[in-house]
Amino acid sequence: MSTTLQALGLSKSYNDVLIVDHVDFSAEAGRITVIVGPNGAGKTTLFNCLSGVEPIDAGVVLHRGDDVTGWSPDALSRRGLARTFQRSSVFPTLTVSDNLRVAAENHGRRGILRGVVGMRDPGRRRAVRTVRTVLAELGLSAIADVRAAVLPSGTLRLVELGRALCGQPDTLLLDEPASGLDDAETEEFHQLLHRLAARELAVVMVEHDLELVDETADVVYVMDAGRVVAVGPPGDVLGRSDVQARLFGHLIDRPLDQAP
Amino acid sequence: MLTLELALAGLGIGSIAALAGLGLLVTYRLTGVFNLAFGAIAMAAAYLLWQAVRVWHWPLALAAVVDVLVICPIFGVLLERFVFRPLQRRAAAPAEKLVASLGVFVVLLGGAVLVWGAQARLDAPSLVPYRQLPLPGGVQLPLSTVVDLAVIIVVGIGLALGQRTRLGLRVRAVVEQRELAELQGLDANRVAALGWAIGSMLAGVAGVLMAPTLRLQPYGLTLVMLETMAVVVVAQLTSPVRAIAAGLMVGVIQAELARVHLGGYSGALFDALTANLFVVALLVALLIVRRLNETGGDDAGTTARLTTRGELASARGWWLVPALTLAAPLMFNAQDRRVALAVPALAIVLVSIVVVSGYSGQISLGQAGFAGLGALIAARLAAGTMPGFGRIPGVAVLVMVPLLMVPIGLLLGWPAIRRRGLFLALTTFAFSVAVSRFVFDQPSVTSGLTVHPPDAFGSDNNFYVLELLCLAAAFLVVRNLHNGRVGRALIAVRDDESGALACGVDVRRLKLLVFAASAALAALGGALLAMGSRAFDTGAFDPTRGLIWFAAVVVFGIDSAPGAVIGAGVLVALDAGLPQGSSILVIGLCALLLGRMPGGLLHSMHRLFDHTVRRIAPGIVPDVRQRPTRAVQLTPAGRAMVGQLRRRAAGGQGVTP
Repeated sequence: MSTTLQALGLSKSYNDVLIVDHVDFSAEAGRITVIVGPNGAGKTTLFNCLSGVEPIDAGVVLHRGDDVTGWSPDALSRRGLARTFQRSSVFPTLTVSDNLRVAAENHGRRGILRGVVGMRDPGRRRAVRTVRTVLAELGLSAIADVRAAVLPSGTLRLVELGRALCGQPDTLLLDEPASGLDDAETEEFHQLLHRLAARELAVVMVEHDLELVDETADVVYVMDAGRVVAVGPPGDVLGRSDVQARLFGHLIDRPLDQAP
Repeated sequence: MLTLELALAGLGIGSIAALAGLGLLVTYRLTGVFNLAFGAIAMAAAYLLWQAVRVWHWPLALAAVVDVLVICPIFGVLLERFVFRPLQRRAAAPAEKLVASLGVFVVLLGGAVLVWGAQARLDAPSLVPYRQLPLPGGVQLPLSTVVDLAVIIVVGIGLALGQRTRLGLRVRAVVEQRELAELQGLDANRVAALGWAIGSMLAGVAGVLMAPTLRLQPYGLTLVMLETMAVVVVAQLTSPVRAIAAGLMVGVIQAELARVHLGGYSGALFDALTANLFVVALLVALLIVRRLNETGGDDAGTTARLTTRGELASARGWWLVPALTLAAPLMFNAQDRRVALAVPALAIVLVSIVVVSGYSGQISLGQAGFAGLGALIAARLAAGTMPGFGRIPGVAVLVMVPLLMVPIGLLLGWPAIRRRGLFLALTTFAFSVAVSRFVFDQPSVTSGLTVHPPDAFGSDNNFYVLELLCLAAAFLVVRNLHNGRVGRALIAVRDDESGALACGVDVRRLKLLVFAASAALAALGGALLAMGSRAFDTGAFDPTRGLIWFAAVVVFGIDSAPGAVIGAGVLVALDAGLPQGSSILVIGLCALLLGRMPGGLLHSMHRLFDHTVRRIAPGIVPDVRQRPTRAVQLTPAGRAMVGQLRRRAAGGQGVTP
């Protein structure tokens, strides 16, 4: 088993408030790593730092052993680090298959000028094949030619995941991928995650539904106030009383069905 | 060395800039619209006062009160109700609001010229009697400056205090998150109307106070708009204190520098810089300021909402319309054909805006700068006076011009990498202003230039064919930028920049590419425009031209290249058939109606046509709304989704989720 993505001593602050506080993190190929924690714990910011969306203040990010600290998000994506967003970032004017195709075509960056003068993209066939495979895998083939603007949000989640897969990543960062899915969809979605992990992908996700975390996760990171407060298999970590206090202490003031 | 006298004179200019800037800032904060028409409303208010006092012989005080406190606010309320409310209702992009305010600007300007004429009036009634206040040290301060400063302070304090009141809070809520504010039970329409009333009242105050000092002349206020922009940008659209300080400081520095005289070429440059110090300030501020505190949500940056979002597939044979537009002049008589020479050239310029703003979502108001530079370079290359180049013969000029323009386009693309929305719009506009002031207005650069079509294409007919060939080449590039891999990636950048980055799209490189391509196209169009009219007319490439072109492209469909061709045809035809300037008025009126025709004029007509035909004769025309879907084996998830979609469609919901 190999580590695909690793962060050491990662820190990020806004206006002198530490949002991510010396976090050590690693994602293993073939494993599902889940980050849990109350709102404001810094989970999304950690994702943003790992994927290059936000510059980090201190620490190192390693991808397949290479130092990629400070790399731009597009460069990281081409290296095999794919992510999805908490708020859908699907391209509304493109069809579902074109959405995927953007990602399938851009892990080779050359050929922009070639396109301007009207030459065919040499990777075209491979991109089309990748898109078709991913569409079939996610059950999206029937709506391949539908514009994303008209799709319901649960479907958009799948489109976004498909887009991430089209870059042929070795690491997937999924920010609350199951929000907006109904129970059946969620169940299917988690089976899909297991299939992906079985393909030696490192799957990292932020998830709030602890029951599902318990079922699917191989490793759980518990974050609170910017720090990683516990790491380990879900059975060990989620049962700990200090972890429960951190997770439920914040949620207990509100009815659970309204908790995000 | 500073002198007090000059400093006080500078204070006069500075206080006007600060006053106008403060007004624009307040309007922006109150309405969330960067009101390009601010100067025009000020101008109209000043003219109304003149009309009332000098023509109708009303008492000055009464006229001023009616003008500023009654007519201006009512005008603001009308603007909100009929122009900006429909835009707000469908959460229009800032680009659309910008264009709508441009429409107001154009209509007011055109109206003022029509009613009062373009000549300057020297007898603008002054609310403040002309008096010089003696200060210690023998210098004198005009009373009007004192009044200007007093008004500035009052407005500044009012703004600072107003933000803390309940009403101020409501206004902010409506500007920042209109829907949420409405859900909280706020009557957003009334709050917005109030914002517009106050905003245009401030414009009226500024106009009435400025008119005696500046000349009362319709176009003169475009100038004030520019100076005002510098002030507002320094303030990052937020800080009234910084706006006031910036206005006063630039005014004083300008007055002090006017004393310094240098000889030679550097002297001419220095004089140009001094005379346009507000433009310099605008440029410097735009480059230094890291962000503007724009109102509204995250989606504020793109022009994606301006587009049709691919709602209707284009009808078969649609391209025949622009093709016929272009072919018709070949059968015109000589005189009409000479007029029509402008059509393909203008079409190339408009298409350059489609590329940068429609396809990739980057607002560019600076295309007039590129087009003008293209014309200039073409003239100089043909004459052999371009530094570093010999005399370039004939058609080769038309190949060289776009190529030489690429680095300049890259230069403007660079700041565009990090800037979006209004910030980018202002940056590109400032570029065009700088080019106009520091290049086109310099006699040493542009005097004595002649332009004419390449020798082999001297006759109008041949030149028209040459233009068509250039347009065809331009369309090839445009097609490659819209289709295939590059086209998809550009749309991805337009629709969602962070999503595009996550897909591995090299957004930086694409933006540079699209600005370079757009600059090259605009330059080619500009060169052809100048060749067709056989003159290098700097007025044809004035920054306000760029604004009008942008508005025209938005009106004719920002992501439609055929629309740009039709737009060029309509513009040229209107100008040829009707009194000068009427095309601008038409574009302005259409821009005002944008709220009611999302996706532009042609798209709205198309939709109307489509709708009517399907009403009258269902089944005869294919439903362009539905694209055929392939028959595939569905997985359970796929079936569930298709079912969901069907239910949505059956529920009769609109196309937006």
